[in-house]
Amino acid sequence: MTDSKLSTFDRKDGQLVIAHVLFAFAALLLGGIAGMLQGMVKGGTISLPANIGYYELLTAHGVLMALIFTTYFIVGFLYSGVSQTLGGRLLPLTKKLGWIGYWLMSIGTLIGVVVILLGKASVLYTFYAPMKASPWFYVALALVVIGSWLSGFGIFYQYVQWRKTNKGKLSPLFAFMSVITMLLWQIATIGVAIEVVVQLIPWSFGWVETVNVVLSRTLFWFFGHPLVYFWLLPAYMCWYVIIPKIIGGKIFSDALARMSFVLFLLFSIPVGFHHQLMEPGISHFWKYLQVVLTFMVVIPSLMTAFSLFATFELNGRSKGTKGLFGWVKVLPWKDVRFFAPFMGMLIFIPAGAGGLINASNQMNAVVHNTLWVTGHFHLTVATSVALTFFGIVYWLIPVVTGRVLTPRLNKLGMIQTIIWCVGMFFMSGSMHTVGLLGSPRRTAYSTYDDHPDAIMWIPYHVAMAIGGIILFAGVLLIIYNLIALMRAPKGETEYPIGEVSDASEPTPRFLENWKLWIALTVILIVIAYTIPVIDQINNPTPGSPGYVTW
Amino acid sequence: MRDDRSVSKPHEGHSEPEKKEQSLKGAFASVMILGAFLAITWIGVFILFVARD
Amino acid sequence: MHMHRLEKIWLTAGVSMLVVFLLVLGIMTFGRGIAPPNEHIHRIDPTKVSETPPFDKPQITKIGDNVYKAVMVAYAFGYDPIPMEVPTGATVHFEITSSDVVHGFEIPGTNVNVMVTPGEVSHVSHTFDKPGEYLILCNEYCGIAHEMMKTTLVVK
Repeated sequence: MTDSKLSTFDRKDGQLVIAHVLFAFAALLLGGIAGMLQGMVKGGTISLPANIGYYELLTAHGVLMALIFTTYFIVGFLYSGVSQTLGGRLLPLTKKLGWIGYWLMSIGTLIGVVVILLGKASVLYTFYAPMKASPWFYVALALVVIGSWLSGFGIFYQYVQWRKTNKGKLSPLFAFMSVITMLLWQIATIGVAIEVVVQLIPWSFGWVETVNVVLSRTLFWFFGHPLVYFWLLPAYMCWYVIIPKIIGGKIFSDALARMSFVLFLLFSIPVGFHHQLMEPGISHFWKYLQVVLTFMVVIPSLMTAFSLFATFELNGRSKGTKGLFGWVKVLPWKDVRFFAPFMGMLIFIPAGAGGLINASNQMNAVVHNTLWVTGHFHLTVATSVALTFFGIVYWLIPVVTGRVLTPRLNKLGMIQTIIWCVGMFFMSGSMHTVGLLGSPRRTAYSTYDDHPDAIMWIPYHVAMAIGGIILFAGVLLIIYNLIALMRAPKGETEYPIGEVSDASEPTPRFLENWKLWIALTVILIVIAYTIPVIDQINNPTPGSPGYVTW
Repeated sequence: MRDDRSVSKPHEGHSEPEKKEQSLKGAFASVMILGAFLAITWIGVFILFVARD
Repeated sequence: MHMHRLEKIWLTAGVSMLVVFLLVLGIMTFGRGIAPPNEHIHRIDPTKVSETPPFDKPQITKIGDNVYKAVMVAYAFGYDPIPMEVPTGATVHFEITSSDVVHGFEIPGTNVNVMVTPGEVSHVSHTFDKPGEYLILCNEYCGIAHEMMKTTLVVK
């Protein structure tokens, strides 16, 4: 069922996909409004009315973009591909789990947004204790996570059923990658679930007096780093599986694609300490160990870079191009379904370079909690991942609604991509530069009593605001494009699932040995976390009462 | 890692038997440029770190 | 698993680069003591900071030849003590704790950049070779006036 013959996408499945995508983009619009306003406040261009706080907007922006937009889009995208490649439709139980997950997440999102906009939870999307939000904020987050778990179980169920009825066959690459992505998510969210359910909810309701701050941060970052890989892997799925089909080429190697995803599962979780390098309560040894593991997770990205360039080059050679870079010419530069994800890939190069610097142990002191970090993840998630997701929209909506992408919408998509890249160049470029000069992240407009260092940062903050305004124009255009796609002319659009190059080697069977991969993942987590966490529990930091400082 | 327990490819493509090592020098050149970029940025911030210490 | 010859070369080169980076960082950390801050763990009851020595009296004291110790408390939204002044070339050992939420402690233009977590004491040192008025600011969101949380260290 990995064949890509023209077949109509199951309409009922399509509704589930559309529901997720529309919710994701509603979150993007709200989050985008918050983001643009923040940029303008920080640049000193506007001041907000007294009843809206900068940090309230910042919380809304972070939660809606980083947690809601991404999770909804990912679930919708994975379900579409699972339906397409694992039998042509979702199994009844899978569909049911998908819808229950959707409603749980939606109730959670709704409660969360209301609590944030009421000013009861201006704790940002990292909600570091002992700042204490309304308990309903934590309950809302728990609902979102539980909902996403059910969606993940749906994917696992469909995969297991497919394996049972297709004994001995290799599973479709898209489905394999979906399982890895959701497995990563399920394991990673255990950390934040324990933090929220065991520590924060009882504490915020007042059932317990104090919270162990160091432990709560460790549990958060157990989740916080694999979270970024949960965003990234679906983009990689598009690059590995979808893009080869769109450019008219073949997947370079099925085996290497699977191997890189396995490595992501193994090494993206036991690395959370690299977000805690500058804080007390964790010794040098454990920090350094997790830095080493963090560098291991770079390897599958190095593999991916080669695979993607190889796909492009082989495609060019099959079309008769010559020379070292002749293949560049035959790429479909005017097709937004290629162009938007391709810009995402390109921008992942500086994004990855920044990531390597962030994780470099003591060197983190140069950039920690400066705008450099904000600039970094606006390249990773807000450009590489977001542009890839935008690129997916231009074929996914037509596929699941039985429509076609018109040349006009393709052109608008190209313009949207360029607007995004230009806006991000200004915003993220300024953030990186001014971050190296020391300007802190997560701060409203401030000249620090006209300190000369801080005055020097202001022009960069203004450039960030300009970038933010350009990006908001990009948000409006992608929303328009989405609505226009929903009303595009009826027709058949093929789900673009790539085929593996004939010349590539067969895929070794051990890559689908889930017991092995899960066991190795657990072993690595145990090695990286057991001793420091036991120490944080047995020899705890004196507890902190809650504070509402906003 | 062993190849001997491999299963058949997911797609019943008919592989041209002999053509094993295709030319990927363009891909190789591209990733080496990428690697150089990673090294240069890292060394740049490393120098900044040492200079500020 | 089969890999193209050029991919093997690429991965070897890439992984070697990562290994070199890690070796440099590891040797600096464990060999030369240029490490991330906070090797030692010192715990303190965050609700009793104002009665726990030495934080009951935040101050900067001379402890050696142009060596100073700054015992500091971070709170929403400021730092104690103020003002602080040291001569050029002074090495300052900062010991900081928080009496409420998590704060940051950053001196732009230097490698001084640590988290200040309630219940823990953060340690960081720096030698100030150039005179000037150094900005110290909070770089971890701590509440409504987070962007106002600052102090200065004058190096004469």
